[in-house]
Amino acid sequence: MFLIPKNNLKKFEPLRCCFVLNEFSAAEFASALEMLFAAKNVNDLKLSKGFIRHSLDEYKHFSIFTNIKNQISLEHELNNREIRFIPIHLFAKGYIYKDKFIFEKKNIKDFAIFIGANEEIAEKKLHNFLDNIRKFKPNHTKKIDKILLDEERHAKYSLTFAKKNNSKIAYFVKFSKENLISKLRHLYANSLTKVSKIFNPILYLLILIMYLPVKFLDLDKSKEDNNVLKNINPKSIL
Amino acid sequence: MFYIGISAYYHESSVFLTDGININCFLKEEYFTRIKGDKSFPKRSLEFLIEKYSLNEENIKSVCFYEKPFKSWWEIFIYSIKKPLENKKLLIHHLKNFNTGSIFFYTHLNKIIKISKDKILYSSHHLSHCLYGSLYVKDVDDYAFVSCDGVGEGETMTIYTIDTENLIKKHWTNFYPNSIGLFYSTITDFLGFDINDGEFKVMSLSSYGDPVYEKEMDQIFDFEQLKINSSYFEFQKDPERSFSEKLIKIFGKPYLNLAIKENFKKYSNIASSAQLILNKSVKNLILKAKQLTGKNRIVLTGGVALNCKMIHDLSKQNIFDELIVPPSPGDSGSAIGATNFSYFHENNRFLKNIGLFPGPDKNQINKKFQLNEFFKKISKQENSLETATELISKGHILTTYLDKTETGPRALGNTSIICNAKDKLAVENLNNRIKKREFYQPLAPMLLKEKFEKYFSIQDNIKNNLYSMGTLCEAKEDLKNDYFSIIHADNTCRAQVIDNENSFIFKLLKKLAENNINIIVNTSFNISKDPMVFDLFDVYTNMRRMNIEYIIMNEGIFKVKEI
Repeated sequence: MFLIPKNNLKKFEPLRCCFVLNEFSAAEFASALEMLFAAKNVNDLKLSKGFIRHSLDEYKHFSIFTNIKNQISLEHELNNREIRFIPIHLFAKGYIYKDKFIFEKKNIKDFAIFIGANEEIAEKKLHNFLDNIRKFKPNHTKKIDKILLDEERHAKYSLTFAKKNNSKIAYFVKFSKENLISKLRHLYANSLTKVSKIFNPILYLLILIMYLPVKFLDLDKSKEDNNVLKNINPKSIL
Repeated sequence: MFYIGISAYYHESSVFLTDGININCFLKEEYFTRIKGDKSFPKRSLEFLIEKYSLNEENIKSVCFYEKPFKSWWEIFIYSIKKPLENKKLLIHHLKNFNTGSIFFYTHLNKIIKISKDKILYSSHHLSHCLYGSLYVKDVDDYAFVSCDGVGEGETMTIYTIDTENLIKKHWTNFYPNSIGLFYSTITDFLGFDINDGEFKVMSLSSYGDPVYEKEMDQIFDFEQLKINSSYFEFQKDPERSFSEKLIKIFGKPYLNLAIKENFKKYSNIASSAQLILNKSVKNLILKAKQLTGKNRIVLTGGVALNCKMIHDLSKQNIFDELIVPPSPGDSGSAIGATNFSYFHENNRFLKNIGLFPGPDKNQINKKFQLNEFFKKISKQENSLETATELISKGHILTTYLDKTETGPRALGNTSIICNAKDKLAVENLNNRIKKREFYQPLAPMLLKEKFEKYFSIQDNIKNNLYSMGTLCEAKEDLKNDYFSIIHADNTCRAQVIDNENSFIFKLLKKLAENNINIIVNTSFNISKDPMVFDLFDVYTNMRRMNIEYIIMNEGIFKVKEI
């Protein structure tokens, strides 16, 4: 789990709750993909099987969160865009890097630390969320408890592997680094809207400047072409 | 020498490679990233091809992008900037995305493989659609090539012809925002489904409703003039929203949860009305094509062509002698069209038909996978038919992972999940529990061509689309008696016929017929929200997630192991 939104559910807000559940689903799905990718690329059968098991767990968590979300949204007649899980949004939301999977960016020792650190962070966030669920939707508590146990096991397994394969100092430094990066990532994600507030007016000003010259552009749009292949310039991007 | 075509950045990205003789390889980026609809630059697909075919500057003749990158960006910009206040949100979004879009295609390509600029070509959006479609007909000069999608390079519908001298003529085009594709996507969004993914759900849903909103829809999209009434839409103003308050005033609250009974009838009526407008619009587009070109045979491409209910409805109106929809008519198939464009550029002739399975062979994909660690062989290759027949007869749901991969969004037997269509329990189990589809989405049947007329009826003018599930057909009495669970609410099915005697599925259907099973259900091998499986790791995880035990592979029949 990499990026979970803040949740401050003092009272039960179904839309907000579904939104958070949708984000948890996205994080679990992304995590499943990372694990599957690692399973495909690691040169050790035992580890590959371990990654597949981990991936299957994450897919299962994804289904659990999605089912809970679906039940709550059905109960409250919700189907808003922002609570729909759309796989391709994993990139834009930052759950998956556009260029590479984590396993491609890190060696196996660092990958284990990354997973362990992030599983711990996710577990904490899930604990906070569970308090709200326990209070307002107690019938879903058991399912999330099961996820928590899985996350704990994943963190423990990854960190044990990392401790075995890193010196004590290296482990401490890398673990702290992962925690810090994770915090920065959350900070970045949460401040995106604020950044937009600064940059959008600048972009809009640019648009207004372009408006006048473009207004007087009279571009011909032809509806017909008697020899398409002759008239098209295959080297041109225009 | 290899020719490469690429489609990316707007819909699911894809790459096609050919040597123009016997090597063809079509890949989608989503196969590798496992993110359905992945539209990013197809880096991994290209890396796969580079490794598999040892690609380098010397053995690549050309790399062709499926459209003109700057034109595509510019046309939307120039339209939007005319009303800078109204379209503020879209314009800002458009500017922000300038550096992540296709304008940087060459830079993105160069990060993967160094190729000189001389070898980079750019086709045109609708021309790529047309040139893809041309691969699926024998005599190109008999056909009008009609392309109809959301938008590409500012165009939304285009009519082409190709003569015997390979002269391509563009007879007519329609411009953004007058798009029947965007109209249908907006209704998809309004009904609470995802744009570019949920359109087929609207199509399924429409069979449950009546077109009671026809008049209202007429105001929204003028099917005679093929013009949109912009006041009902927001897609041209705001990237986050496709419809306006005015549309809500007509149809009421959007995004209703369809699992709630009271919402269902109303929403299926809206879907049915939108479907009717789509049918009428495409009918008029085809009539226009006939009038302008004098051709009675049509090849229809673009995302709109995936609406197989529309194809079926149009066939009954006697407006064409033949209508062909290639297996992947949307943008991802345009990578093949772009390759055809570059092949023509070099050779002054077009490529030949690439068939239904131009994807890589499964054996080439899985060099690293240790099969026996994850699967237990329960039947040798020579006994596969008997074992598969026995399992299917007993009500088991099987997966197939055979030979080469399909191009389009529909699995055609090589990467499928199958079961006995007579077995109501198995069909329900597959649809609801395994595929997690909605009750209003039917499963598709698959049968031998020779059995088709016993169970189904179809107009001759669209018959050829039965090989690639490109159309619906009607259920006859015999089907209702024995295979009731695969028939849709409007008495139709999206049947696929098989006549390739060398394929495993053909032999399996022959064997099953001995046990009085003439039809099997065929659905793509994936879970909802996932792309189709690509390698054996995907196969294994998908089977575990779906709780399916058995798989038919080229090497025999296997059972999933616990690991």
